[in-house]
This record gives sequence, structure tokens and C-alpha cells, in this order.
Amino acid sequence: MAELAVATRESDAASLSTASPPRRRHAEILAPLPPPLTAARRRRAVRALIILAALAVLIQPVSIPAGHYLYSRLESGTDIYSQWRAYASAPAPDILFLGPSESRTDVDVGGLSSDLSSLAGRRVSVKAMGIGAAQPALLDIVMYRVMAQTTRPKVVVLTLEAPMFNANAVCRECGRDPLTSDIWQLSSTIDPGYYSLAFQNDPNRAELATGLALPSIAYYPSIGALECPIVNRMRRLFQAARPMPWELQQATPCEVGAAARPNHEMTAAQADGLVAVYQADFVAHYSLSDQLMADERDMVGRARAGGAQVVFLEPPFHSSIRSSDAAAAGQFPGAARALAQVLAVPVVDLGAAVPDDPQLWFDPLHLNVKGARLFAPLLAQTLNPQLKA
Amino acid sequence: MARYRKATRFGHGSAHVLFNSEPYILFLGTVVALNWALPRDWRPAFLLAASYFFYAYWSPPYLALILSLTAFNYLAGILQGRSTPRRRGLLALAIAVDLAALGVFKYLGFLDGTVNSIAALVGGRGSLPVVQLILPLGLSFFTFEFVHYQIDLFRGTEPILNPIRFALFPAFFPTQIAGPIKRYEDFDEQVREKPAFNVSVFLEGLELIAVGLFKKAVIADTVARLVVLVYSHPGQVGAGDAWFGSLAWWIQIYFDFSAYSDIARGSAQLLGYRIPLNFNAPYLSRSFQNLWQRWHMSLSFWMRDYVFQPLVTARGLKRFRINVRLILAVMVTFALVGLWHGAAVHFVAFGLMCGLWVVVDRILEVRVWRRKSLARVRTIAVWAQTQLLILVTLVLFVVPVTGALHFWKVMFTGAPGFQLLNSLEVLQIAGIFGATVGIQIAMERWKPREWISRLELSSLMRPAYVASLSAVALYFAVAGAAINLSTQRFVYFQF
Repeated sequence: MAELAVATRESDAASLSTASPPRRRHAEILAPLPPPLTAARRRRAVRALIILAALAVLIQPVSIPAGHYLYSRLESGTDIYSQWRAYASAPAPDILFLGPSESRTDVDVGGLSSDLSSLAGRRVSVKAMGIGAAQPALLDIVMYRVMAQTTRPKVVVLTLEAPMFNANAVCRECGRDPLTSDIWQLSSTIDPGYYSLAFQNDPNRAELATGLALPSIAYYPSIGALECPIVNRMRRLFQAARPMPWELQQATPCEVGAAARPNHEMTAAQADGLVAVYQADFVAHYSLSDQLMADERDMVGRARAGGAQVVFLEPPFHSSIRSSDAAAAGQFPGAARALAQVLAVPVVDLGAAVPDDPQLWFDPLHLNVKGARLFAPLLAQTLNPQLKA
Repeated sequence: MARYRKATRFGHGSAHVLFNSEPYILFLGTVVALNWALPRDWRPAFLLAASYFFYAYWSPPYLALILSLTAFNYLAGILQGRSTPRRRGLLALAIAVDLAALGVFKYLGFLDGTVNSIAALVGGRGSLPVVQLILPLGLSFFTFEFVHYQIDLFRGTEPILNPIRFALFPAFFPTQIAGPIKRYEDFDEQVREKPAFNVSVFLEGLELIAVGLFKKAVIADTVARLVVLVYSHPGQVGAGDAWFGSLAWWIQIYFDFSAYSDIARGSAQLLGYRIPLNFNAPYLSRSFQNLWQRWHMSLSFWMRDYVFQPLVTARGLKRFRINVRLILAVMVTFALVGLWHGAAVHFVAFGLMCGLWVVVDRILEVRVWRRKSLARVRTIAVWAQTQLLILVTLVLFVVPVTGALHFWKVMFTGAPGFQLLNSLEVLQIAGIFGATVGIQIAMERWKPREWISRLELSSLMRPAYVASLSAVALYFAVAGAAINLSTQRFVYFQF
């Protein structure tokens, strides 16, 4: 122990003093003073800062087209901007299906158009826009843009599903709200009415304004799409490696996005997993939102003001989802019916129209291509009388 | 549905602004722009308002806590400043109130639980209700700043009379949540001088933020997965997993906390302020004492100044020999360092173990490493010894004592090899550690940043450095979120 005392006396002699501590005794932790700012140093620093500022300004306009392109890659063309561009690039259809992702996955546009055409004895054109996890606040804004076009659909079929009216469907504290992100992506217009409605419907007004003013903030998450080619190249590189690095084993965002195109059959494990998430995330925390119901009312009013007839569609769901909804989210069907009654909107209930055969489902919420093809004649037959009316 | 799953996470975590989040970048940008746009005299008041907004964003009710502690310490400081000689009773009262706040929010649950456990051990029935309060953000940090203020006043420094300047000292938002623990004379001197815009300091601030984001998103969050992998499967770990899991944790905690400190320093520099350093190449530590001079320096030097030295010179301990006093002071100081990190037995054990290694280090240094025959290997050997002891000790920082005993058993007597980590992951951990040691040696010896800043080309190199680090960090943050690694909290926010 004597050694300890000796060693400590050597190094800490000053600190053992009982006298008042000198000022700045903690000089060890002070950040070093910057070197004197000579003229040359200042010039170089100013130049560097100007270059950084110029980069920050230049990246703003560039990030919009880059973001659209990357989001399209990321979501295999099912992102809101790609869907909107596809819709707006041609004259409006006779019938537009609009709603969450089921509007896109469950509606076989070609098959339905041909079935309706043969039933009606004339050509009936159909388009569908299904925006993942869209709630009425966003769909109302999409409807605004649809009705602001020079040509408008004659009939708008609005798809309904329980999460649409769930106030707890999105945790606003957990990260970026998809509503805000979708509004940014749909902002390819100078129409002030669009922006006014966007600010009215989006509770994240400060964030919305920031993304509109600084598009790089709005679009930077799309750089996730860059991961896909990098990971694919790395996978080839590590093909021989056993084991493959964990990071490379994970699905890339593009592969997850590709899965949004339902061209494969549901497995029991996938179904169970999704039903468990559905029950834990949505059903267990279901809270019917008056605001979202009001947004739906506004959307119906907007469609009607644009001269379109409105129909509500309850799309097919796997029995496991229907029983989950009935058991715990029972508020939804009653509220949807009541809303339809108040607004005098006909409801086409095809919730149980497709059997539970896994060959027809992508997952318990969405039909796959085969299921949608099977569903098309049923949908045509059920919709046809509504269209005549 | 996929988007719902991504967007939906129920359960209410704390909603404070993470330094590596969009809201913080927006907040910082706005505050920096307004700070420099405002007249000089208004800036402290503006920064105080911004800092309180920052705190209230996490929890408006808890703003009352920092406000009331600030008001109390301000008044206590003025009374102390007017007293000649300084009043020991007033100092004791001020420290008692500050530590009581810390005790109630941070340690009450721990104390109740410990009393109940002891009662149960001796055959009684533990009947104290265990209180678990939400720990106010940054409480451990700003409480220590208040205590330092009161002690320094007692030792003869002058109080801050201007209430805005005083309130800004604990509330200053870059250091509010996880330090560094500031010293009031340095900070207040800068506030009084009202820093002018210095383009070099500003640019360095941007560089620090970019480096911090890079450290957090690219390294800390990537290695975090391996730490979780090892420590969440204690039954399956091999000896290799246990050692490399600990090394991964050593990497994660350093990169995570130093990332936070870099962003805090960078944010302060954008506003024209310098705040204390927290790290000085800790991977180059050559003893445990040296480690604590390089690691979380603002805490360790605080402990030296306000716990260790008063203990060594305490009248009550004068009857002991100096070496006994030193050992006692080291052990008490490190037990408190451990307790500061969390109200749990394993944190205290972590602190005590650090204290023990400080003592052992000194003995080994004098008895073994000073021998002339070992002069050639000395540097490498003491470094390796320190790093190995760190890896052993850090286990206590992650898991409770029983878990740590299991991991130590596996480390020293377990079957060699890896059960959880694959060869690439081992290579990744070793590569990051080796590269960091290399970079820290290079930075310490050659100070590349200094000579780069002298080059004419630096006006191109520095923006390229900031832009590329930020872009890579952004990419990793986005890609990490896409594979469910999601933006992670900074480890030191919990303290």
C-alpha cells in the first residue's frame, strides 16, 4: 500500500492540498480554444461554409424528382405519387376505386372493366388507387385532387376497413406520420386549395410546412432504396460465405415493397403472424375517431360536389380478420353503417364473399392476383345495380 | 398493412427530442438562425426560452422541477455570496435539497426495494411500498451542476446575480439531457462575454455534429444488435461470445455516448459556446485511473473535485494513514460513480470494481511494470491489461450481478469458441475496435485536423467531410430503420 501512497503523492500532490481550489481547476475538461482566426483561416472557413450552404440549397429541388424515383423503386410503383401519376396521366375512368391498399389489391381492374362492360352493354372503364394504411384524412385530399382534374369519374367506390377509423392506428410519437409523408409526395401542384386542405387535415402542421419548404427533409427516407442494389451486389459477393452476414439475410426495403404486389399465396405461418399483429396493434387499441369519420363525410361531400356517385365497399377479408373485428373492433361496422345511412350512400358488403382458401389470399387482409380475378365477377354483379341506380 | 405495421407502435415511450432525430435538427436549425439574428443582449434570454421549450417538449409538468431547483439554487447562491465567511449550513441545505430531488426521483424505488429485500432476508416482511417515479430527463446532470455551483461558492467564488444567466447554466439545451456536466464559471463567462460569430467555431460545430451522427448511426446502432444477441441469450453463450459481446458493448457504449457528446458540443458551438470535453481517446487508456481521465471526463473530474478530494482531506479520516485514506476515498468515489449511473446493485458493483482496479493498477504499476526488464513491453502490456479488465468489468454495466457472474464464469471457464456470433460478426467487432484504436493513436500523435485546416484545399475538404459523413449516417439511419433497427435512444439518456 505504501507504493500506492507514494505514487499518488507524486501525481496528486496538488490535489491533496486543503487550500481553496484554484480557479479553473478543471482545465482538463475544457474544450481547446480555437486557433486564432487569421485572415487566411477565416477565408477558408467562409468558403467552406458557403459551399456547405450551397449544397444544402441545391439539394432541395433535386430531392423531389430523386425522391419520387426512389420511392417508386422502394414500393414497386405502389407509392402514392406513382399511383397518382398513373391516374392523372389519362382521362378519368367511369368508376374509381379509392381507399386503403385493398382498393388496389382486391380489384382486378381489367377483369372488372370487362365484366361490367358486358353487363352494362357498353365499355365501362375502371381505375383503382389503393394507398397503404390510408385514412380518410388523406383520402379526402386525394379526392380533392381527383375532383380538381378536368375529367372526373362518374362513380367513386370508397373502400372501408376497420383501421381507417381507428384513432390509434398511427403512433404519432413513434416517428414520421405516413399522412404527412403522403401529402408531401402528392404535392405536385400549385393549387392553393390543395395546400389549404392539407394543412386542415394534417395535425402535424409544423412538420408538413417544413417538408414543403425543405423537400430534402420530406424525401430523404427514400434513400433506403439505394440499399437494394448495394445489398444485392453484396449478396453476390458473399454468396460463398457461410454464414451470410445477418444484414444481408434481411429483406431489403424493395423486397418488402415488391411484396405489396400480391402475386403469391398466403402460408399459414404468415397468416397467423399477421393476424396476431392485427389483433395486438389495431384491435386491442381500437378507438373510433370522430375526426376520421368527419373526414370521410367531407370526402363523400367532395365527390358528390364533383358530380360523382358514391358507393361504400366492404372488401373481402379472411375469416380470421372478420372474427377479430367482430370480437373487439365491433364499433367499426356499426359506425360505418350509420355513416352510410346518414349520408345515404349505398353499401356493398362483400366481406365474406371470398372463401378462406389460402390460394386466393396474399395475406388475411388482401387478395392475391388469383383471388382478385375470382372476385371481379362477383364485384361486377353486386356493383352493377348500384351503378344503374 | 405493411405500412400500418411500420407506423404503429403502441405504448407510450418518452417523446423527448432525440439528438439524432428530425425534430432536433429542425429545432437546432431554427434556434441557431434566430440566435444569430437577434441582438446580442437578447440571446441569453432567447436561449433560455428555447431550452425550456426543449425540456417541456418531453414533459411540461417536469419543467416545474428544473424551474424550482433553479430558483432555489439561485437564491441560495445569492445568500451564500453575501455571507462572509461562507456559511456551511447554507451549503449543507442547498446540497441536501438538490440531492433530495435526485434521491426521490432516482433512488427512492431502489431504496425501498433494498430495505424490503434486507427485511425479507432477516425473516421479516418487506412492507415498504416500492415507489417507481419517472426519472426526469437530465436530472442526474443538472443536479450535479447545482451541487458544483454551491460548493464552489462556498469555496469562495462569486455567485451569478443575473437570474437569466443563472437559469441558462443548468437549462442550456445542448447539455440538458445527458451532459457534459458544465462548470459554471466557464459557462457564465461565455454568456457574459456574449460570443461573437466565429466562422471557424461554427464550421467545427457542424463537423462535430456530422461526426456524432456518423458514430451513432453507423457504428453504435450497428453493433447494438450484436450486444443484444449475446446478452439476451445467456444460456447459449460460448467463451468467445462472452468476450466479444463485452467488446461489442465497449464499442457501442463509447460510440453511443461520444456521439451524443459530439452532437452536444457541436450544437453548443453553433451557438458560439464551448462546453466541456467528455472523451479523450479512451481506447488508449493505460490504466483504470487513466481510463477515468479519458472517459466521461466531465463526471469523473466532478467526482475528483467534489467527492474524492474532500474525502482524502476530510478531518474525520485524518486518523487513518494516507494510503488507507486514499483507498477509502477511491472506493467511496467509485461506488458513487456506479450509483450515479443507476439505482441498481449491479451499477454499484460496477463502480466498486472500477475502484478496485484503480488500486490494483497502482500496485501493479509500482511493483511490476516499473521494472527495467519490462520496459520494452510495458506500454503494450499495461494497455492490454487495462482493456481486458474493462471487458470484464463492463459486463456489470449490462446485466445484474447474477447475470454477470454467469458471464464471467463463461468467460474464464466456458467452452472456447462461439455459439452465437459468426465469424463475420467477430471480424466486424474486432475490425471496429482495431480501427478505432488506430484512429485514436493517429489523432493523438499527428493531429491531422490541425494540419488539414491549414491547407488551402480545406475549404473543399471540410464541406466534403461534413456532407459525406452526414450522408452515410443518414443512409445507415434509414436502412437501419428499414431492417427494424429503428432509431435508437442514446444509452446515457437513462442516467
